[in-house]
Amino acid sequence: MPYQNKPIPPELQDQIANLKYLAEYSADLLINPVMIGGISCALIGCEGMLSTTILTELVLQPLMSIPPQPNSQALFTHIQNEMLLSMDRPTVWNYDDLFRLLHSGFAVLLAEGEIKALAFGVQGYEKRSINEPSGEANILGSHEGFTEAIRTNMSMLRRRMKTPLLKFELSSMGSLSKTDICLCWLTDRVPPELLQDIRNSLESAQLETVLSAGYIQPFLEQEHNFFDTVSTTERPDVLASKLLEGRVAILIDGNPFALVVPKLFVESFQTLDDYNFKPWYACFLRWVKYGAFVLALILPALYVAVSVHHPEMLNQTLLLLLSHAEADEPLSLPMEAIGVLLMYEVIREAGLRLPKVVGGAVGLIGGLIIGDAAVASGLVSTPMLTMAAISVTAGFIIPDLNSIITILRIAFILAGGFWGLFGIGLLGMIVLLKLCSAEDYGFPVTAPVSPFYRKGMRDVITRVNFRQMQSGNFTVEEYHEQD
Amino acid sequence: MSRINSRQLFALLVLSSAFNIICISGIYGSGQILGALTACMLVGVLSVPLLILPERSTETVYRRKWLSVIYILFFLLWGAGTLKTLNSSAPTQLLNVSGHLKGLILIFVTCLFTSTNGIKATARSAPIILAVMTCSALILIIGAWKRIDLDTFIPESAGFQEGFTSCMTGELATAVVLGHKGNLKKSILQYLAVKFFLYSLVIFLCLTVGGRLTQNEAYPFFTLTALSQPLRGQRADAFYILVFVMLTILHITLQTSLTAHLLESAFPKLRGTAPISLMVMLLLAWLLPERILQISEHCMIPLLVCAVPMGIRLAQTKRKAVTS
Repeated sequence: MPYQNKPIPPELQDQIANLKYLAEYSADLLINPVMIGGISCALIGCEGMLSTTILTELVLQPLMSIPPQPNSQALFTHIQNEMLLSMDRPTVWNYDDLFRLLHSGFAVLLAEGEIKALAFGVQGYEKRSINEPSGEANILGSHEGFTEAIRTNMSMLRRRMKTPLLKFELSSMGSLSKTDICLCWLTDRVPPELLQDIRNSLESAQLETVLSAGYIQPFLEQEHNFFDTVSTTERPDVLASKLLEGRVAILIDGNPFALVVPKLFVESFQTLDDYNFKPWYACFLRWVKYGAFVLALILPALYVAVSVHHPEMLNQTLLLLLSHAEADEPLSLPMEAIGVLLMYEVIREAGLRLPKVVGGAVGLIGGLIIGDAAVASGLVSTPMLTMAAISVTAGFIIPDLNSIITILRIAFILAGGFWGLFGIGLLGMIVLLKLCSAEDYGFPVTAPVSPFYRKGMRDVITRVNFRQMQSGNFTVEEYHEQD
Repeated sequence: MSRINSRQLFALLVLSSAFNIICISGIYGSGQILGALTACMLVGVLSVPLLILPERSTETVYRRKWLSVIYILFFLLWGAGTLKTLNSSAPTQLLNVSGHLKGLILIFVTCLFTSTNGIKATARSAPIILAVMTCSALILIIGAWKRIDLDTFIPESAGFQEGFTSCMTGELATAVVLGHKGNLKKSILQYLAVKFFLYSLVIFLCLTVGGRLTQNEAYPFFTLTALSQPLRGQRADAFYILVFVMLTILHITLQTSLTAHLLESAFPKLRGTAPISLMVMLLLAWLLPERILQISEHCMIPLLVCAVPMGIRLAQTKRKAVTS
């Protein structure tokens, strides 16, 4: 019989022997035989997962003061009905639940003659404190980011939404890791069908472990599309705003990012600060981001295409400048562009993976010294380096789309290099139609632009002020397409 | 059936007709504008039965196999006509590939890929491409503005027939096959108006900017783009390659997706309907002369745009009368 369904035997000796056998004498399993109320018991815990202070003060001391009981049933009834040792105190009937709770920081009480166990929530494992999010920095908003502890994240969200309409649904995923995951939504804004679809998707994941959001994300997304249809955030305030719009979030224990379903493409251009600045400034910033996206994606490709195939599009000054700069270059323009961008990717990866102190230095050396040396040696022209630098810097403005921009930028350079604007047009159409085909749970990624929703434009073309926004009662359900 | 909204339908219809407009073969005189107006009005009259159909009525097309087959045949012929036009117009474009055949192959391969995304994706992309096309039309007008010579625009009847046949195209058959949400009447009427406006604009600009030069060209629109430059010292002709590519791919993708969708509903066991549709279109384009394709398209328009919707409407009325 697999241990998942193995019931707890009545004899304490067997209970402990089974525990040791199933845990294969794991070093972190703590078994403390003790007499409570005159009954032979054992208090089980997992080292490092529980707080010894809480355990001693709130569980052990009250348990030791229990008067003698006639049998184990009476003992458990006494503990359950007359004592409040912790807020979270589930009853355990099999070893599957027992191990799950044990490894989640619960203390479990076994007793001679009893086929169930009592668990007490006395978690006290070490965790990272709440810090500023590393990837979603802002100026005027909160500086709190999610941590790895799921319950801390739930509390951070609850602090921002003190309404009974906010619902949390805990479950576990991963046949080995038993990772806690939590579905969060506002009950009045999310249709039950969407929730059920998400639950079905999560159930379809037959994973052994869930170590990060990337493990679950593919099960929530449309297959064969390179555009994300699930967004992530590490900010509780951003998540609260998304829940307000009728989205569903998934928190994962051990991961400081929340997954949010559904995602719209325009969300990649929205940041929390957009809603803190004056609308006119936020609107300006938003258009800067749209422009930056285009520059990040096709500027090097346009440079290559125009220089190689359509020089007539340049004026005389620019044409002379570029021809002079490129005259002595040993590589063809497309190869030069791809080389520069790949070099940048190498430097970026090196800066990311190395320790922070060294990583900064690598960026500096890569950016300044190698760049300067490459130009001085004649390997790369200054205009090409400028185009690549502008394109890469523009990409930093939309970190959400960084991965897709990186790949497509190179693809566009190849298309532009081989076939000029004709090639860029072909690839552009492929990308556009692929983007337009992306949808998740019936929500098209391109909404509210296409399909067009006038109401949605107040946060896409512009950013209206909160006096107008408060009258919206907007939920993302408005974008749901039914066949 | 994948239903699209009326804005997307409008954009799809306009873009489809825009492809035909930029590929007009020959400027014969200002009578073309009158011919276009007559054709647009006639199509408008023919589409009255379609306009009075309630939502979801056109799903009848999918329930009757023989009806589906007629529409499949039409879209295949229409698609073959497009490929034929593409084949003859591509050499006039600067496609940056050695030999226009390679360019055509690239377009064909791209369409093979894009048509697998389905009608909804095509419909969603249409308003975005329409925005790009509007910008390019503005650039064209700005570039042409300084070179307009009104003296070369002489009201005459020459070209009436060419104008009429150019605008007597079967885009509205897509409106029958595609399920729609929203105001269909508004979309179709706006589409007819915009189609007439675009056609008239191109003819007007060709006559007043290009004059005799465009009259001697097989594809005068491309000559017009070469003549109307918005900036001094910089040429913008290549920019229109982008527009041409976008319109071409959208047009062929729409025709292929529609055929594939109809094939799927008529023959549910058939797999790979989009590549099959495109291949058949290519085969028809290779086998049939352009004139035959044009004539068959024009002959089928009254049937598909008028007779079928009218038949559906009559059947509905009859069914209502029987049940009441």
